[in-house]
Amino acid sequence: MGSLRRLRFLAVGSGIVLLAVAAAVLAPWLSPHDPYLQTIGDRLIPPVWDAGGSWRHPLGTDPLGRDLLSRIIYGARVSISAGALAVAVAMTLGVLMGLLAGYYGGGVDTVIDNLVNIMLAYPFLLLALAAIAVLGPSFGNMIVVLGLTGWPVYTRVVRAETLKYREREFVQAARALGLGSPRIIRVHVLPNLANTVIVMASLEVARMIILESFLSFLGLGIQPPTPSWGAMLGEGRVYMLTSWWLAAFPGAAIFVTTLGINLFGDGLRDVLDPYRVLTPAAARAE
Amino acid sequence: MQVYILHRLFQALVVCLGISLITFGLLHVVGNPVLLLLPQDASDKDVALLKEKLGLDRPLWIQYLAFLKDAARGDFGQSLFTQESAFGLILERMPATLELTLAGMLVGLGIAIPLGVISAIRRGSITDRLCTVGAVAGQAMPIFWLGIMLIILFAVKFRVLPASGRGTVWHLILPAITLGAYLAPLTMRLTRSGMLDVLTQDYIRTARAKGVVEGVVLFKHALRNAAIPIVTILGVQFGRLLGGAVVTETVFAWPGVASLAVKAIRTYDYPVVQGSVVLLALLIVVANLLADVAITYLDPRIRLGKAHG
Repeated sequence: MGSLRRLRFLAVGSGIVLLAVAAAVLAPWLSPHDPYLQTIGDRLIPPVWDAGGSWRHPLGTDPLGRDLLSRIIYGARVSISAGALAVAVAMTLGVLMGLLAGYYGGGVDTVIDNLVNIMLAYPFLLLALAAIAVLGPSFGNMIVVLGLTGWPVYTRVVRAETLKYREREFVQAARALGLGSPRIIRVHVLPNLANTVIVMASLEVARMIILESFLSFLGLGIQPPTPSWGAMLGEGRVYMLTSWWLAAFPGAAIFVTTLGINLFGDGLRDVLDPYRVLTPAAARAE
Repeated sequence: MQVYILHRLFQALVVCLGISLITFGLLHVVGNPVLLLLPQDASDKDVALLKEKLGLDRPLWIQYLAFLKDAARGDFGQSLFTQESAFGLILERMPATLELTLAGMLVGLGIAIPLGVISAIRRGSITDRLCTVGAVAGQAMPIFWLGIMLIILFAVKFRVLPASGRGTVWHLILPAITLGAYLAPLTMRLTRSGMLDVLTQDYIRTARAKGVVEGVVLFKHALRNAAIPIVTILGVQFGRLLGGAVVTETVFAWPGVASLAVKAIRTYDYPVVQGSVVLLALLIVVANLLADVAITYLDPRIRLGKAHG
């Protein structure tokens, strides 16, 4: 694949991500209406290009007469913060476990490796669903659950990379000089893994956004009336026989955002890690 | 080879135990079934009575051992609502899930493998670029949205396919496409990169040099070697596929195990949750195991050489 075209992917991806972040940050100034304002007289207005649509509500309104465009703009806040926070939790946990397993080996490695195998065989979505059902649906619980179920991906890769670096001369030299293990890990191993982890994390944000949306879609994530793309899509599903736009636009928002993040992550990989070959082991982790 | 398979079997057993422990812990330690089953104003006496009735007054580790013992015999208890055997309920719905997963896999592979091979052969062509762009877009697609859009398009607007349920082959089309679209992008990319790796190998050049027909070179020499990473991925992907089935079954009201589990999770019918989660996980473990065995078969280097992996 031409590197120039990859750069174009990166540019398009960054553009979309910036746009989504801007929508989230500037929501109060960008949205034409209050996303919570119910106008019963304006119920289920179709988008502007459909018969009966108007520029007042370019993407139409929902069954409570709320402006869909405004709710989608505000929905970016939930999706982006949930995706980023869940990745932060999963990444911290996963990298830590991977470093421990790879660097210390032995019993620690066996325990962590088995844990990873268990988590990877666990039907991830069902685990998340069951945990949310037990803990109760809320934004915080959702982050915790997504974070606690999403870490093995990082552990697999970080463990393999750490194993490799552990035997390298500069690490051996540091050990011979009498450096302690925590310091060796921090100063000599971790920085070498940074690129790989950053690329993985950026791609994982997209996956977490989709998972968050699905949980909210099922009513187990963000609770109404907070606008979130997943919950809106879930509402829209009820009306899909008559009002297609209710499901179409929030879903399109999720799609475009995750596409942007994936393009960005893929492009980033080529910039940060140009020699990476997609081995089965690395692909497993994806 | 036997040692390797035994080792993998042992690993699979550890995984199964771990999954049962996590599920049990989640439902019994983090959650409290009794409080969720009784009305909020239930007296302490009622709580104690129900605990005794469900055997929840025993120490946790005894409950867990009892659960394991029963589970090994296929007894996951009774649904709290219908009083039917949870295992029976799950088994009844297993064919629907297998049908959907299999159909999804067929659609996914049917799209992914030919496109991956073509992209690799015609590297850099328009087809290759379109496939890559399609795969990138496909990987970003939330399939519950795709499913709903397919329903809106084919069931509501054109009225050519049913929107939900199971029965005829027509009912299977939209769910299978949805699930296939989930599997296809990654499989296509892996087929493509696997093929590209193989096509630059010496034995391909040798085969071409000795005048083997190009079709035979591609399908006998190249694809068979490229199949190794694909099969590895498929085994691992089976877990993802079941995750996709959870989504697809929910969107299309497909009467499978995954939608049963989702419903049971929402109503806190914990015997059904335990049973379905453990059985689905078991399926994943078995699929991974089969993939590993298939690879040892496909790859003579593993089969004959480094057999103790």
